[in-house]
Amino acid sequence: MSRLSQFVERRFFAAAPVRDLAILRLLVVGTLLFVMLFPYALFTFPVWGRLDLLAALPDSQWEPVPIVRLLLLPFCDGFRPPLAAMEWVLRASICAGAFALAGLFTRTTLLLFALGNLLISGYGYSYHEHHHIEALTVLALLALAAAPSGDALALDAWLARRRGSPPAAASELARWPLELMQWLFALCYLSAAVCKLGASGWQWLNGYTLQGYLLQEGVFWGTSSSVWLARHHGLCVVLSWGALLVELLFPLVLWQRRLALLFVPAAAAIHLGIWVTMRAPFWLYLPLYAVFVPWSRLFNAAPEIARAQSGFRRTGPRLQEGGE
Amino acid sequence: MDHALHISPDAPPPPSRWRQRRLALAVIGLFLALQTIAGLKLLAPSKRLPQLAPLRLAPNPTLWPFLAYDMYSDHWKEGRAISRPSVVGLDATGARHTLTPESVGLSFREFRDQWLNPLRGGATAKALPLARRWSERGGVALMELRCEDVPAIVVRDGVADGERIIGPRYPLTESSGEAGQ
Repeated sequence: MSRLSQFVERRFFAAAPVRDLAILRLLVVGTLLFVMLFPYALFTFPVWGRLDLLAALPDSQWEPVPIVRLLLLPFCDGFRPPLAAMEWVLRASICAGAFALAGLFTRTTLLLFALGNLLISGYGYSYHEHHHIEALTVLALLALAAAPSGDALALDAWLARRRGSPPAAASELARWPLELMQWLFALCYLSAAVCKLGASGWQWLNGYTLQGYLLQEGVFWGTSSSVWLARHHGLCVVLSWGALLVELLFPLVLWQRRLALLFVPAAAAIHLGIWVTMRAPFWLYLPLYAVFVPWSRLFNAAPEIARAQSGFRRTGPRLQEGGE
Repeated sequence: MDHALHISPDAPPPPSRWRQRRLALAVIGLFLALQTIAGLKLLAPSKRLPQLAPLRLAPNPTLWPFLAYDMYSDHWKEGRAISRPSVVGLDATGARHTLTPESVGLSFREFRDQWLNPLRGGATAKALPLARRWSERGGVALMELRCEDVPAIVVRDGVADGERIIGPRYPLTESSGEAGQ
């Protein structure tokens, strides 16, 4: 077996608990369902809440992204779905999402939920404007749909147990979506760093760049925090270096897992800071960070820690007595 | 050992799992390849390199949901300015009053999208109603509204004010409002 296939085997297809995959399903589907049902709770311009505005735009602005064009090809090349059709897609996607969250017909409903969101978000980005906030979530849904995501914490698993054929607690197919999302995260952050250095070189770190963007967004959104921060050149230099280093070095977590303890909170802090100062809503990244958490190991460790603590509480006084 | 717990790279998984593994491998390969191509702009070289224009096959968002994360990637230099527009009212004594979203009972976005930007674009009909909103909330009667822009300049000490630019002016008479309404 070649080194590459051994590497792939070890990294992507080592046996892993299906519960970790199920936790990711619950977090990602649950969060996305929430923002689809309450689009303006977390976002300013959510595609799920402004289908009517997009549909009112003239045909001349319709330039479907290739994946949308492909999905709509059965109707005709370049087909622009009417508002009523997109609203039905939205409703159907929410229904599929509810089933996927409960874990009923998990693979099928996850696939429908993923395709629905692929179409809705892609539709929103087919009018000469695009954003980055849902892309990783849609990819995660597609990966989850191709994996045994309903083998734990799901009605499918419960029904299988009732039928006398419970799903295995671990599977060699339960790891790859988590691993894949870690790689995609690393590639996205690396992309952000490479794009900055490619477009601006080290001048991006001059402090004026961050001051300028903070001012620009502060004036646009009326956020006083960004205007305040823009007045502090030295702080902007430090934050620029911090942001670029996190983005550039994030891929190290793929080789040194413990670095996730540093880089994942740092990346989350960057997104939180960007939200507070510049109103860029990367909320959908938060549940995706679950791919860096070894849930089952944490759950398994919790009782041991509790036992150890209770043991200490029991043995502690005795030791003291012995000492006396 | 349960076949689901297969971990040895030398022991092949049962045939029933081969199809799923092939599907997983296809997804992994496709996703990582497309994200690498999009993220590192391998098919979208910079427009500043015209000799590479034929390779510019997939700029954002052609490969969506695979994207280059290139937002905020251009750099700024010291001295660059950004527009900072406002609406100012003049009363009978000539005193200046800056109309803020709070002072006219609006959210920042409502104020910006429904009043400030239209007034900057010459929407005469918006002037009198806005002045009335301001006066009704405790402000004095205004004789004129005008759009101004005091650009913010990025400097080492923080932010400096640029030279004030006076935009469209709207003398406030009953006829000016009614004409637009």
